Amino acid sequence: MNRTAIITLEIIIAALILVVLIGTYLSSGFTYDALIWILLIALGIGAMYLLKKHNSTGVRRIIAVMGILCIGISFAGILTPTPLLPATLTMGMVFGMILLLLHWRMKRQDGDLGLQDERSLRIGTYGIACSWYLTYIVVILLASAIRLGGMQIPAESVIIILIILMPISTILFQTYYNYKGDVY
Amino acid sequence: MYTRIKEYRTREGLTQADLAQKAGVRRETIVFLEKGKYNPSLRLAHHIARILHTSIEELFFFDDETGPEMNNS
Repeated sequence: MNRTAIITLEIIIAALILVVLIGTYLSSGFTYDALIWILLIALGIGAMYLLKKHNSTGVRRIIAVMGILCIGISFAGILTPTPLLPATLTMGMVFGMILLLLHWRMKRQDGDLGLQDERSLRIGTYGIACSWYLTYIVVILLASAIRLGGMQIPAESVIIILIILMPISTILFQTYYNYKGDVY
Repeated sequence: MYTRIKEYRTREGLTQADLAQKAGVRRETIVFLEKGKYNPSLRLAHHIARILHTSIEELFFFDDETGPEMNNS
């Protein structure tokens, strides 16, 4: 794929994400919580994109600072009374941790600035696949516990569990396979 | 899987980083290849064999095989 096609595709994807995020905010009734969630999701997507495209020390430092800020602000929000939902503060903490984890993971690839060879692609894909299977198992277990075991868990908590589980398990699986050398 | 990449690389006077750069892969990949922990694609194996001026059969062999010299004897 040539450079122009890649840029066009990136613009289309960015525009779609923006439309979905603005649409979500508009349909939420303009709450602060929705705005923060949208900003956090945009920050997460932006950080991942930046690290994939420009894995430099400067970018990684910005990501780490953003992660620390997210955790710090969320922690301050937990300690002081705020009109925000507790789930929003948890989300802030989680996103902060994900950003720090991303920073740590990408720092280890510093020697090969952004180079994706067949091994890293294989490990990347396999890590995502394993994370998907794990998430599917967790969803089945949660559904069984709710339906058969009578467990009561709010939908908001389920969403937060999935938001935490998917990126963190992906990074952990990829780190494990990278340490092992291969996916077999 | 066993490899003789390290032996051939040293003979060619290349470092792991040099070989990685010539093969267009990360240095980590060469490290795991030399340890026999990574099974490369046929394309990469062929590419490395060409860089090291040898054949794939000379570079890679599996647990149930012996080296090429021993097979010939």
